[in-house]
Amino acid sequence: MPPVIQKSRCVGCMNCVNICPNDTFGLQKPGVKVPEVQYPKECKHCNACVLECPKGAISLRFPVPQMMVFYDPGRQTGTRGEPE
Amino acid sequence: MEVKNILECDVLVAGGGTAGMMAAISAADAGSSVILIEKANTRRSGAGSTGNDHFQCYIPEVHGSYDEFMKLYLHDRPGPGACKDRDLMDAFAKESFDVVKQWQSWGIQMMPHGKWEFTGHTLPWILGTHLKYEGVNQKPIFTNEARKRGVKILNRHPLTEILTDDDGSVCGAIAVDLSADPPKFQVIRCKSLILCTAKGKRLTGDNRIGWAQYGPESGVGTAAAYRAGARIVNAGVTGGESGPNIGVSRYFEYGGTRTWVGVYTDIEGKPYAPIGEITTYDVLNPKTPGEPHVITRPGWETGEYTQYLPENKMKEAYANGQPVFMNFSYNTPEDTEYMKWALQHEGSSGIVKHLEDEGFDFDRKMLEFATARDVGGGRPGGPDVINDRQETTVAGLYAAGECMGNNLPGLSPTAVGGRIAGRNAAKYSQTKELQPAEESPVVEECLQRYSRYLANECSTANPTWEEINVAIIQVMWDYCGSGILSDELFDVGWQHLKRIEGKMKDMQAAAPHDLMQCLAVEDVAQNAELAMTAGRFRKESRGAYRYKGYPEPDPAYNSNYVAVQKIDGKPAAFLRPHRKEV
Repeated sequence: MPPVIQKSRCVGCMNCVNICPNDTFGLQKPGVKVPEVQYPKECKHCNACVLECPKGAISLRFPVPQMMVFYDPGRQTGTRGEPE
Repeated sequence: MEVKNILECDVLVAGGGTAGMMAAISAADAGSSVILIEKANTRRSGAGSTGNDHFQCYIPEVHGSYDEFMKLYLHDRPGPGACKDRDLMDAFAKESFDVVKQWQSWGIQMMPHGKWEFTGHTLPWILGTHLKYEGVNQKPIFTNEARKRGVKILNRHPLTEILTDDDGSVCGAIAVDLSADPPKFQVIRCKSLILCTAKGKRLTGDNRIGWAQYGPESGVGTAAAYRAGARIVNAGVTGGESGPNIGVSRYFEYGGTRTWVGVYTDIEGKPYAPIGEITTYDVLNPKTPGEPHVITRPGWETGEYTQYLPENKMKEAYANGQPVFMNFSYNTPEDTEYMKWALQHEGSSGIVKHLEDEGFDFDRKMLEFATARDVGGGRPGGPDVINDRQETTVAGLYAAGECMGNNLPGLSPTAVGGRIAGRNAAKYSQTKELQPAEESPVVEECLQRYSRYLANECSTANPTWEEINVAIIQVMWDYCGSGILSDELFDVGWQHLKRIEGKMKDMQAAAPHDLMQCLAVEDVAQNAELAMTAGRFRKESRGAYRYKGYPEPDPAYNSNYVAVQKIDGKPAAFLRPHRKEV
């Protein structure tokens, strides 16, 4: 579920915790080094934590029910900008 | 629950999204002392958290005369539930370019490619009104501008109640401080209050089965304004009233549809509307054929435009079980790169990353765009803004942005409305004295109620806020939804809603986060009452809105909103005419 923190890169600055619009991380316990994602279902995938992380330690994983649906027709169907 | 020392200001702004930041900045510029309370953190909160798609605006050097612009603007106005008040449209349009210039001066790139760039939302031969800009870092910039002007920003302080004095005018507000555990109770005295909270989307939840039901948008602005005596408009209007909403990327339904560059095609990759030589038509009269227009491909300038052609076959396709795909293989590589850049700045950077992670090849694969399932249930509406100063029916209470019941949709009216509200609230506040808001009986009631949530046993003995929220969403879908409506269903649903409300006193709050959600759910319940009251009043059928025994549209709603207001302690519905002329 949503924010995935790469522990080896995290410096514990808590930017992600502080700025999350949905409080997905929740208030952290004293002494926590790497933020715990306490309310993962409340993530709305806005990417704010990814943008605010100074170390690039956060990525988002889309929940499986929200995977985008795409179809492979087995060939390129369009003209790549050329007239038909 | 610990009570903090009372705070004081001239202008209190509730909600630090784009409207709230603009309101706080303009009130401070007009000389007021300003406190802004925000549920999350203004650096990244609100609908513009990591960007927005476009900034709709009137730029004279591009659009020519004001009348010409309004023609284009009115063409793009959506259907039921939208703002029909001409004074608000004029106020927005006339000040929109000033905000563009102001943002540019703050370092938000409004001209990312060296010129005013209007893209999407229209047909290739019709001048656009949606300015493309770089919004990804707008919120940190607004926060910085507000701080420079001395605005006191209280993050993790959601508004919970508006306080009024004996004559019914605003004198303060209640917030909870969730920045530490345990949470604390905060009363703020103010001379005026600007509501800039979110629309209460949580009333009807999301439409995926059992997933992602809760955005942050509890609708506190609507609920608290109603409790403070304000008139609420547009409650009960359902989604989908103007027909199927074409083009929502399944199953990630947050991203805008106007930023994609591609062509809607069928499963074989064949476009649902012609590209090549197409016949133009008059913008205001789609049945009038114009000159032939040749367009060989969707370009970054046009976005997906085939959806606007009258001869598109998408509605038919949906009705016949044919999937619709956004097909990028007609793009040049430059078009696709432009789209990825644009998605980044509308706050959809996560989407591009997700597609890359899943191995999506933009040249060969096609992304499905379904119709949005109608989110059932009535919308909560919002406080009625009664004039071009952004005032509501309660003296000293202003509203801007999505929380308004008669808001103009989109980022730019939100920004402009906030700016107008801030300026006028500052002026109003010069005529007022601070009052002892903490003496309102509402303060003690709230303190007792919030304390009880924190004291309730956290165990399976008591309901969580989520249970209550789901229960309310069920009522909205089944008794106030987009199926058939009837007096009987409303009566059953109303009684069930009241029983759900009776369970709320037992909600448990183990952490500050839970207290925030318990208080949010109180507002969701309040908004359910408003939507049901409006729904039971509005006896007509229109689009997806169908009332038993009333199969036709009632012309009264072509020129009136449904309004709801507290009368004798209960919500009562009536008509409020649109303001057509200034």
